[in-house]
Parts: sequence; structure tokens; C-alpha cells
Amino acid sequence: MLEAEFLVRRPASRVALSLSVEPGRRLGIFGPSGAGKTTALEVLAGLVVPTSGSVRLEDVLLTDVGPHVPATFVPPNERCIGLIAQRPQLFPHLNVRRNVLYGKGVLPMEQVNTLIERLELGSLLDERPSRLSGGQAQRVAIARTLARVNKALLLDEPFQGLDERLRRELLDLLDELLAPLMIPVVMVAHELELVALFADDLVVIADGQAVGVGSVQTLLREPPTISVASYVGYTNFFALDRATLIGVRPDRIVPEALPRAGYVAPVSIRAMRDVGTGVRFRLQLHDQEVTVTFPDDRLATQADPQVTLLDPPVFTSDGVFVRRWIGSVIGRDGGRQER
Amino acid sequence: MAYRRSLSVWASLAGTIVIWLVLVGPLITLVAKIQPSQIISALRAPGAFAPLGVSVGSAIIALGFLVVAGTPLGYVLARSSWRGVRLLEAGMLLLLLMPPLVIGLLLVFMLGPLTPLGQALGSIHLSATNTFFALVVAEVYEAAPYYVLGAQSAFVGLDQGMLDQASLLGDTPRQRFFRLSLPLARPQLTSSLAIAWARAIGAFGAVIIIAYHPYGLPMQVWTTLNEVGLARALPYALVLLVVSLPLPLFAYTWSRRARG
Repeated sequence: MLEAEFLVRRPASRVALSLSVEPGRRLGIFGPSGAGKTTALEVLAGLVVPTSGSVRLEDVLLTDVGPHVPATFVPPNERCIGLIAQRPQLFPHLNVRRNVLYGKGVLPMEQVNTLIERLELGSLLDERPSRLSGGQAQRVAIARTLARVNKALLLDEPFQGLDERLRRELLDLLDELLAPLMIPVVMVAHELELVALFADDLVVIADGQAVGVGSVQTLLREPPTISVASYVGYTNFFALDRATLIGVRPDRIVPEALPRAGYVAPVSIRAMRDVGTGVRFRLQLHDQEVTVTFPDDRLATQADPQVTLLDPPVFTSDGVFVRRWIGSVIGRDGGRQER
Repeated sequence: MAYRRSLSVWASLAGTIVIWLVLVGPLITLVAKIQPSQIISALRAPGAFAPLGVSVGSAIIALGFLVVAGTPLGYVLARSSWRGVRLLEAGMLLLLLMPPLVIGLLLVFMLGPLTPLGQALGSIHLSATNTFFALVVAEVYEAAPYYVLGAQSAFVGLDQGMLDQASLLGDTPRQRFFRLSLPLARPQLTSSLAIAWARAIGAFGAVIIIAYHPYGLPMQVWTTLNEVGLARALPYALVLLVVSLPLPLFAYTWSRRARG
């Protein structure tokens, strides 16, 4: 189990976090740029000494710093924590083989060879990093980190700068390679989709502190506050009445009236544009303007266009989550009743 | 329009060539003035090669010392988070800015035979005045800031993420220095070494104060100029150039290639 509770105070920033990851679980740390995500990973890896706090891995104290605590600090080279960073950071003076075998604690050659084969690096072993493409370099970085005994793994926006297809492909590969390891994994990203695809649990951070903690599904569907909702993809909030607000996530809108699936709302189309992969609409939904992409232009053909917000979260006027709007039926008097 | 642009290109090119000619003028003059027969006759004189041997030998030893002691110092200046390191850096900058003649004078006060350090050297049969050892010392002091500050700049330029990755892969700080920092900094370290070589072999200001004897090439040029005249001094100047330039030129070419 990886457990940490720490404070990092710097002249221009402050990061205070508490997190715990069970073996075999994956924690995503998600938040905007500059929120303190990378600092959190650096503390776990031992690359930054926190102002105060502790880091514990498999019941071994790696960091323990504070005004009344004698400092304990295990240096990064003794932590057995792997890090796959944004950039591959391959050593340019060594070929791929020597990059993969660099350092201590390397697995037996048989296992390394299997890893090399799985990552399709066999034909690149004698190449210098400067001759590799972005995707190949990131594969080597993955091989280099996984080719040794790791007690925990950290991923710092590992596929930044790669195209969508390659990113998905590498994520699937990493998913498959990590499954048998049963170690705690922490992934930092500022793309929600990547975290949602990879992590089991999520910590949403903003301005250096956790604003939401829970399973990925819970935080996406039932964000505890409007502030957290705005970080996890909710773009608009409209007032249902004086005491209630409904959150709108564009990827949770369908272009038809499905009263049993969520909140049905009439819309007016402000603009539409075919963007190749679908049709992007600018819609007026109550007092809010929402931009959403649908697979086709079906909505434009409706006489009175309506959309359904699939089980949207409902908040109090103070911005606190109350429940999900499961569905609504039209009452006998013609009014809408929530199910 | 095209005519004007081409005129402006030619004017820039002509200007560049004129400035270049003015700056390398002394070198062109030397090559134009000197006759092959002068070089042959100068080098045939008894003991003509002695200053060359002295200069090359002392510069090699000075550079060896600088590589061993100056490389770690450059690394500390570049990567230490200790606040006092800026004071060490200031010391190196002062050494760089100090006129070599002043360095020579101060070395006399520091290492002269009557000083504590001079006496300590004496006890191991070394003297820092008018000896080969003194020449090496003078060259070390004249060349050190060029190498140490160059090494600092080489180590500052290393990618911190890459160094962190090496630590996470199990490297101790010492292993990381030898396996990663040093190889990555090598092109720039070589350039700095080449500059230090040129400074060491051409050292004169500090040398004339503490190591008048034995004659290295710069002292030979100086004494020949004073005692015989300009024409006889020129061949030695050419030899000095021939000896001091190949390493910098090689290092420049190699480090450019290494950096791609």
C-alpha cells in the first residue's frame, strides 16, 4: 500500500495532499495545469522533500519530515518506485538496449526479452534514441521502467504530445502489462478521458489541494460540488428553480427526448457545423449556451428540437451535490414529475 | 525590388568580409611576413625545441590537474543547492577577470619561498618560483576559470528530468555523475578544455612573474623579441600558434558534430 500525507510550501505555491493506494489499484490525480499534480508525484518518488509530512510504501517509511519529527528520507535510488514521465527522457548516448537495461534491480533477461517483444522493440535495440519516433521512444521508456522490480509506479502525463490513436494504443498496452504486477499505480493527467480510462480512483486537485476524492465513476457522475463538477467536464449549470441547479456535460447529452433516461429539455439551435467526425451544435438550453457534438444532424430536422441530459447531477443553490436526476415522466396534468 | 535586395545582400557580405579581415589581420600578417627559411633557421638553433617541450609538457600537466579537480568543482557550482556555492562561483569569476600579471604577483605572495605555503612546498622539494612546477602553477591559475566556468555551464545545461530518471532507475549520485552527467556534458567539457589549453600554453602574465625560467614558448618569443628582434621572434610565434590551435579546432569540430 502506498500512503502519503504531505505539504510542500514554495514561495509561489502550496501543495497539501493526502492519498492512499492499495496494491493493484490505480489512482488518478486530475486537475488543471499548475494545480500541483507533478509536485505530488515528485514527493512520492523522493525527488522533492516536502516541507512536512510522510510517505509510506509497504509499511516502510520513505519520507517523514516535520517540525517535531526527526527527518527520514530514503533517496529515490533506494525506493524501487518507477516513473514514466511526459517526455521519454531516454539517455541519448546509449542505444535502446542499454537504455532498457540501465540501472539496478533489472529483471532476469528472459522477462526483459518478453517485455521487449511485447513492446515491439526487438528491431530497435541497437538504435540511438535520436533515431526513434515519439511513439517508439515512449515504448522504450515504458520498457526501461517496467524492466525492473518496482514496488509502485508513477505515471506523469505519460502520453502527452502523442496522437490520439497512439495514446489509446499505448494506454491499452500499459494496462495489460500492469495487470499482473499488483502494485499501487498513480497517474497524473490533465485530460479527464485518459484518467477515466485508466484509473480506479480519482483525486481532483485545484490550487494545490484535493477538492474531490472518490471512485472515477462516482466523481464523474456525482461530483460533490459544482466546483469539482466544473473540473470533471461539466461545462454549464442552469437553474431548475430557485433552490436547484442542474449540471450539463456535453458528452452526456443525446439529441432526442428520452424522459426515462434523464432530464429532457427543449433547445434552440444557434449554429451548427459539420466537423467531419460529427456535427457540432451551439444550443440554447434554458438560459445557457452549450456546445455539443452529435454523430449526425438529426436534431436540426426536428420541428421542436429536444435533447436529454443523461442522469445529470442536481446541486443546491450553494453548489452542493444532492442527487442524480434519474428520469422524468410527463404527469397526467401535463407537468413533469421526477422519477 | 529584387535588384535592391540583391544589392543589400552583397553589401552585407562585403561588410562581413571586411570585419573578418580586420579581426584576423594579425594572423594573416604573421603568415604573410614569415619565410619558411626563417622557421627552419630558428628551429635549427641549438636548444630551439626546448621551449616547445617545456610549454607542451607543462600545459599537459596543468590540463590534467584541471580535468581532475576542475570537473567536480564545475559540477558542484552547477548543481549544488547550497547557498555558499555562489561565493565559490564569484571566486572563479574574479580569477577570470583578474589581469594575469596581477595573478602572478599574488602567487608570489601566496607561494613565494618565505610564505608558509612556499615553505610547505619546500619541505617536499618543490619551489613555486622559477621552476617547471612554478610554470605549471601559473598555467593552472590562468586557465582554471575558463575550464571550471565552462564545465559549470556544461553541467547546468543537463536535463534535470533525465538525471531524476537515472536516480529512480537506481543510480547513486556518484554513479549518475560518471554514467550520465559526464558523458552528456562531454562535448561542452571538450570545448572548455580546448579553450583552457590555448590559455595554458599561451600563459604569459603570471608566468613572467613566477616562472621566468625555464623558458616556455611565450617567454621564448618575449626574450627573442627583446634580445634579437622581431624577425627572429616570429618563427617561435608561429610554432606557438601551430601547437596551441589543433586541439581547440578539433574540439570545436567534434563538439559541433556531437551536438548534431
